[in-house]
Amino acid sequence: MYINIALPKGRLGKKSYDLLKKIGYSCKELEEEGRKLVFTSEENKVKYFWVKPSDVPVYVEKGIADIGVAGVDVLMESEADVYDMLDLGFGRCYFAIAAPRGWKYNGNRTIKIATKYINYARKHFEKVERKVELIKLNGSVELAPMVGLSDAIVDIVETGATLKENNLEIIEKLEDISARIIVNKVSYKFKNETIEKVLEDIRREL
Amino acid sequence: MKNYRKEEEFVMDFEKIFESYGYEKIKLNTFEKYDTYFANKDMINEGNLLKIMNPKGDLYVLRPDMTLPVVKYFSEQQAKRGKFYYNDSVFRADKNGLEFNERKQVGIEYLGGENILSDVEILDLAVQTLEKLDPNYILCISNTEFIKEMVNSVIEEEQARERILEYLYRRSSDLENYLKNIGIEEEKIVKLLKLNRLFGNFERVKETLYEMAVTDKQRKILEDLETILKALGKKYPQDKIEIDFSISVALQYYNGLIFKGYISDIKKPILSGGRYDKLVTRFGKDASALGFCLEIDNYFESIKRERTKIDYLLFYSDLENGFEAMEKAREYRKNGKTVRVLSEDKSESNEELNQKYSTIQYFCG
Repeated sequence: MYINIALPKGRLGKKSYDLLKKIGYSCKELEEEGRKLVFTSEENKVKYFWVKPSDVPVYVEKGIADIGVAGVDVLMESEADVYDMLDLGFGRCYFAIAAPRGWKYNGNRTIKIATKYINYARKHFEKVERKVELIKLNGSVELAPMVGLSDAIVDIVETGATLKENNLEIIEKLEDISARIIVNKVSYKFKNETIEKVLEDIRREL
Repeated sequence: MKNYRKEEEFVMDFEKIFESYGYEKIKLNTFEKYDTYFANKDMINEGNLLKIMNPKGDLYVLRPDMTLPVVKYFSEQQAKRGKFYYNDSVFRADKNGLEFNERKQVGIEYLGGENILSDVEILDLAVQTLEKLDPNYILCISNTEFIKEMVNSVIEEEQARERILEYLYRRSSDLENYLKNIGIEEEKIVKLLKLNRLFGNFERVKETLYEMAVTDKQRKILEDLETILKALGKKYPQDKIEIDFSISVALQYYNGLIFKGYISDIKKPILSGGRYDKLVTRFGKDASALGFCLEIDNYFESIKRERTKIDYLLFYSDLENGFEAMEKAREYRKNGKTVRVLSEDKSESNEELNQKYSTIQYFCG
């Protein structure tokens, strides 16, 4: 039985592929440089989809891919109904709220928050019962407070260097992030042995 | 063109099965008082309701499911028992409340069943339904009380319990760290992690299940489940019925057996059901309640079925040979054929025509 795997383009995807290769899911086609997005290995009975990181949960939730690799950030933002079965331990960073150095929350008005993670941010502020105005950006979120687009940002932080360079500091550290193997809930039932074996083999490699 | 009559016939086959078990077809009002749903909003996702106001200002909803109207109907009857099936539309708004849709559902409700025999019957019908959809099906079974006992034995605090349930629903790898962080004893963590990873047919996971059980209630649940599955196993292959505690953690609505059915081509549950005695109690009746519902629209949307062709297309060029064609058509129809008579035009290619009609004849002088 074939297994379909969605990998995120970029460093995280490459690292994940190396791991999958080690446990017997190599795919020659994928290793050749090119512009293809789907790769099949008849020999190892595996098909890879090479997709935008934020699309991995969609491919897995809809069952086009049986399993996929996604960061907790992408996963939480997508709100996809999938199993989150294995922590790969790499791709570590965390969600944080950051604001210009010395910024103080002034309780009189609604704060503006710029973020790429609009669903995640909405949920977080609902949970802590703070009213905020969310501004959805697609990149360079650090710029927003500097130019007065927002008071603060919600973003992922790896080392904090980018924040420092833009004169921002962390106000609150939120959820930890790492790469996960996510699994389609129906595939898990129909391809249980295959998927459990992949998970078991990866656990052993880690 | 989709063949709607074929679809209806397909659904009618389910109705025949349900009727052979003594279920009666029920048709209920599409509109329900909003208050009825609002009073049960802890059980039903009230935000997804489509609301309508009458000129006096009374608020109604388009029913979002069939179970509640059936239970309400039953509660107004004298009878202590009732077996109903339905084939009707339900209406829901999406999660942002901006769009809404109508979905066809087919299902049964068994009210006032006495013991685990009713569980066996419902599961038996669920399996028959799935089998008819696709021989490559899986029925997953869980029990809300088993999960509840497990989680409640671990921690008192309500928020933490809910958090654990969320993890179980996602089979999340974060569960272990979470339990460690809130200071749960090692032995209990091991049990919950087993629950989190458990999947397989009863015989295979039986030992693990009995090891996991902490309370007498749980052991009783397992014994009952074993009896039920043994009864089913006489008729159906056991490898298609799996124990899976992650299928639902909707513990407010269901109490006891819950199950979800899948077929390999559709990547979401096609059938779901369980025991919901508490809902019946809310309506002032003390009766056991079991049922399931089949999302038949999801099936028809996903499954590509062969289109049925019309037997004959008779093309004519003018009135005179048009009458000739009509005469011929009458003859064919007498022999049970389907026939369309049309004036000849070039709006469709030969290929398109051949997809629609088995035979094309020309009456063109």
